[in-house]
Amino acid sequence: MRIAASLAQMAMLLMFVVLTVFTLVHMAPGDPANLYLGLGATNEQVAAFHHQMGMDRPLPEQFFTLLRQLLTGDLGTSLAYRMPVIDIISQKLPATLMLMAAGYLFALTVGIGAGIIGAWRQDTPVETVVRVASGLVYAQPEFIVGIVVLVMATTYLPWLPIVGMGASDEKGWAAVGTVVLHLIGPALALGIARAGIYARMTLTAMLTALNQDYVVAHRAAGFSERRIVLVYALRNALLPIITTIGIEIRFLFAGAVITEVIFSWPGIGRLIFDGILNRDAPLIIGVFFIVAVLTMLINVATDIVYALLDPRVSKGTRASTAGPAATS
Amino acid sequence: MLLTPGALLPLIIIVMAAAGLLLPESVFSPDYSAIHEVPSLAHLLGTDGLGRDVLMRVLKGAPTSLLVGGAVAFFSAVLGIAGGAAAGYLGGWVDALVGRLTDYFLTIPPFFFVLVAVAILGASTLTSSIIIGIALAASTARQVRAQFLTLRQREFVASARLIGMSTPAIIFFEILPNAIQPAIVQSALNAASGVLIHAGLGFLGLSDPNVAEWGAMISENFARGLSGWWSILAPGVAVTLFVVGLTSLGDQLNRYFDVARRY
Repeated sequence: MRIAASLAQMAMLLMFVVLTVFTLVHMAPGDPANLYLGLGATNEQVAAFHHQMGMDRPLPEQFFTLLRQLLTGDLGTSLAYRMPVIDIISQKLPATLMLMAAGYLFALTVGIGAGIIGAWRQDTPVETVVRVASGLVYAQPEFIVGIVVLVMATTYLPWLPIVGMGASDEKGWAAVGTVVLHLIGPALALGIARAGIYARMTLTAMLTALNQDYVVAHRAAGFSERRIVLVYALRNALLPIITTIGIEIRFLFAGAVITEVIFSWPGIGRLIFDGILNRDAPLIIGVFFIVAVLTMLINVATDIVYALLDPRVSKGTRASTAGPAATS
Repeated sequence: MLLTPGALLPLIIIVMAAAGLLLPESVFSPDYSAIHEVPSLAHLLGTDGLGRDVLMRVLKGAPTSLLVGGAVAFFSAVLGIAGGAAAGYLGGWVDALVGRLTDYFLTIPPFFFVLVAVAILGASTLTSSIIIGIALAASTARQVRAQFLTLRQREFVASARLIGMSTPAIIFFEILPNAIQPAIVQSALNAASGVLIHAGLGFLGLSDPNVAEWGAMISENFARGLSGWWSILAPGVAVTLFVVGLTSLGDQLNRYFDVARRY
């Protein structure tokens, strides 16, 4: 019953997402026909273009046609690329997901690692270094980190390929290696600020955990400091970080737009930016739709993982699965 | 509150914005005999590709960013408080509606929405501030709603109802003064995010071309190549300074409101 209600809520939300983007792109001034046919187009040509794209129908009818299409998995045809939007997105999405995963992995490992080390060496210069470094990077926007990474890499690591994703004519492991090398720069740019946030969160949570009675009890019972820090304190410190993953995913998508523009990474961030420049309504709507679906799926996954890790949650106390933060 | 080092940053922001507004127009004008100069005594942060003093350009961008921060804080607070108060006090379908609206911005990355909306509706500083404010209002609304949910159960609200106060009067004069503190803190944080998002828009070429804007400055100097690193670094540092400053303002407000910690 709860699952059915959540599904209905997610479907409603998706429809609402489509409705707002649909409204926005139809508020845009000017006629895409002028952009795509040129100013020399005759009235007949413009009318034929409108008819072909279904733009001569009343807006509500266009909207419901769109919804019907989306239900069957058809995202329409891109005006600029002249091919199905779903094909373009499935071509570009893996690059973005790869970038987001690499950036996030970097942020999690470096951030949590730095946080643990800082808490372990509490009240020493190490803790101060972690604090200062995380404070310096956490507010850095992607376009600044991205440019710094780009400048540093081209100056000091000229052998490192930094722009684009590499040639597509390679096969097998060589191709994988090329992509991984190209991924380093953009992933750093996307991950550094997040790493700062996670370092802060881990440090604070670990320090709180390390001062709890149960840690004192474990110390008294003679557990090793390594075991206390890495097992007992860390497990409690990680919970709040997991809840943020569902929220973070939106920022990663946003960061991907700018990172992809800087590094010419061929993903959906660049795609939506080009879609905006090209007034490509079906493409914009399609990217929004896919991003919304992905965010929802990741939110549900986060909720499940959280319930598995925290026995207090699994008793059905959380009301909504649409967004983990909706109830917190 | 004023003695902590964190309080210095909001002060720096105000000084920078004041300098940007009050300095004479002549210091901002291009000097074509001094294009792309390295930092020197005459130009402390060097000059850009049009021979404009980078330091002065950065100062000129400060009022824009402060305006964006203020406007985003204002619009997100008004929308968030109105939505959160209505949802928390009235419950029922109003709560459901506001809940879905806030879910929306938990599903769509705010930056995606802002990008498309600004590209279509216009990139003037005010328009983009309103759009960013709408996108960031969700978090304020959720906090205000949570406050209202607990406060409406309290005795003072019941007695206000008993003496015949109207619903709007109860919302505005009884509950809101007790519920507004987290909203104010959140608004300062929204201002910080707003400055960051607006700079990102500027970097992508979606800011008002007639206004000095840091993100746009970074992208135009970046396009010129890496030899003029100072003209990229300076506006970058300014953005960071503003974001950290506004975030720290949020922290200060939080600490100030947290009465238990103050005494």
